[in-house]
Amino acid sequence: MDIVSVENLVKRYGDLVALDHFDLRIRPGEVFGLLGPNGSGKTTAINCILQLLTYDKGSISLFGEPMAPTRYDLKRRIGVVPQNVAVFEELTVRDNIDYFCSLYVGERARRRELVERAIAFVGLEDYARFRPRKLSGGLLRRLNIACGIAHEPDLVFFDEPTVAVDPQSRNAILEGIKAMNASGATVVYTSHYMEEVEEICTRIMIMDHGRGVAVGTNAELKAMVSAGERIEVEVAGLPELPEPVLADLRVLPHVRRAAAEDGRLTVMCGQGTRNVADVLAVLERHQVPMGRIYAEPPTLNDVFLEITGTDLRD
Amino acid sequence: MLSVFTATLKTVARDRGVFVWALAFPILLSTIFMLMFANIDEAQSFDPVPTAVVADADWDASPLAGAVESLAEPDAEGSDALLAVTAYPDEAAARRALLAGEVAGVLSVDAAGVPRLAVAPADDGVGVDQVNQTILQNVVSAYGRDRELLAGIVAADPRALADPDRVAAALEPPEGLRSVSLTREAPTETVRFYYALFGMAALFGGTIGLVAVCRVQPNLSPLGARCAVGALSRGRVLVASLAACWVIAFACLMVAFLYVRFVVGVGFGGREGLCVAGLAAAALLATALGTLVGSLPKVDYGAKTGLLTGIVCLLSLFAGLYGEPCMELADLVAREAPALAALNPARVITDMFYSLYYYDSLAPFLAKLGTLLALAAALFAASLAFVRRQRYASI
Repeated sequence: MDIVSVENLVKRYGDLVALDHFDLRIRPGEVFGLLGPNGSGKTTAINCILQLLTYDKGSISLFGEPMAPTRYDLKRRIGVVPQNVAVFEELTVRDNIDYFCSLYVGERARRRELVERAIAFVGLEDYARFRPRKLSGGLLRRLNIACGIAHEPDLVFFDEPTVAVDPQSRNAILEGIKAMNASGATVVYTSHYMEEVEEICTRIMIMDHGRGVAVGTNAELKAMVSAGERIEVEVAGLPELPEPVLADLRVLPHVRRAAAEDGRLTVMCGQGTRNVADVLAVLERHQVPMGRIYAEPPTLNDVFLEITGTDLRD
Repeated sequence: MLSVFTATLKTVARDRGVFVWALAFPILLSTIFMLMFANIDEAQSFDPVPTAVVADADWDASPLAGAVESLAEPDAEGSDALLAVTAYPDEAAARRALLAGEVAGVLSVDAAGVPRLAVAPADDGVGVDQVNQTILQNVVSAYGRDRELLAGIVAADPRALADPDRVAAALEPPEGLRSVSLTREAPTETVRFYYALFGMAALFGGTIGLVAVCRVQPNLSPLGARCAVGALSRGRVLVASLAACWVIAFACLMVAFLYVRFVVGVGFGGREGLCVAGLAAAALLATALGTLVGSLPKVDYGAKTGLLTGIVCLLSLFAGLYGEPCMELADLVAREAPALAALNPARVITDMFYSLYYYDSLAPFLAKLGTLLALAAALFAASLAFVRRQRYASI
């Protein structure tokens, strides 16, 4: 049974189609990444799933049952960490978490226990009596997360939780998400930071213009495209790389593009098993002095670029 | 629900902006009123009439001396003395004081025991001097009338003078002439302004409802969106939030009421308990008004607070808060378009206190109370049309 099942979802804002026959299936225990540039429809999809937004067409099921605005039994099993920090400025950290937890858990004693656990989970023990305005951006994000997960939901939506967060807090957030997943929660994670998605997600959907353009594991997505390694070689000893060297590189079967600039040679390859060896062989043959050599596997950005024709960060 | 209620209490109670309008405003304005109206009340207070008497042997022998002496002392019911008497040894000294403006008139008795009154020449206006002279003339004429009455009794039935009851009955005002109070309390010009102030202060309490509604509506704030995805129904969240708003609005009004009653010293006809009931209804209406404005779709928060402020100021204009011309305007609207006045919550709240203060019957108060509750129900019902939606086309 899928935890989330969305079929043929269409959402329009006037003439703008925000979700264009969007399909989504998320299995229990996954950390599912929704990756796409700003405006690709990630947040709209989540808001439709959560029944905050009306939609023009399609169906949504959660935990195998049709989702509706009044399905409080289903909502009780869902946690939401919104993109914008949404907490009460007038309440302390502990009171904020207790308030949002109370929207799911009525029993006070049980709630007290959950709140303390959530505070510990995000590492805000020393700030429990602080009001939000006294917290840094990173700590605010942690509070935002604690408010969304305190009731220990089975399914948690994280909508770009690391925007404008320092690296230390970012790492803490990602580790926290992994820990939640390890304890049994299914996670839906939206981001336009491909590195994060690659790091924590077990499956990824790439979205563009309201549609899911590709879905699969990190490896599956990269295998879908012909892009291979990106090889960079420092050639600092030469002011300009001789044109015959570049010509020999370009005729290699897996090389798609080769260029040199500022003492650095960049070679873009397709899928292959001997890319680095072949490139180095050409350079040795021409006795090109080599410094450091880097070989990076294809990124999700390369996948996005090949599928959509535009850069993910555009 | 209890946690939502408690959290709303805490969040609203810590919102300084809310307290500026709901609490600080009425206290500040009532203090300004107190300072402004102090002069008016002083101008309307009565000072004893400065009176000279020629304290010669004829005066001492006359019953008028005793009567004047009694008028120069506070009566048994605590009313102020009517006359402030200064005795002069002779007529000439008394007249000098009169011409010097030290006294309003000179009372004396001639050798035949007939009272005489001398007053200074009146100017063209009608002022304190003329009022004082009229009072003295009434004193002398009343004494003359009673004196003739008693002389008549002596002539007709001298034994009647031995019966104090018959003498008292004879000196009573004629049958059919009776002092009747038309209102429960003596009318004063200033209390209506304080009551109108309560109308405005109560409606400004609507800010509390507005803030609370905006915080739980998903289309109005990220916080609202977050609350809306919770597993507690929207209706329960709203009811708990608005109940907390009502408690705070009522508490603010109560503090303002206690200040106006016991610090400013405004009277409420000795019906403070009923005033509390009225304030509770006014707080409910204010919460409903704030809820309605707060739930208006496609209007941002800043515009809503501006709209609420504008509505309250306009309604208060027709409750007569801004001075005598506005009070006349409010009365004109009430006469010419009573339905409009009846639908103006600021005016209804003003009139509610007014009816407690002036009328013996509680019927007018209860009618206003009922109107407030009906208006609150109507406003809540209208709000429901906007907030009942669970999903939005855009947020």
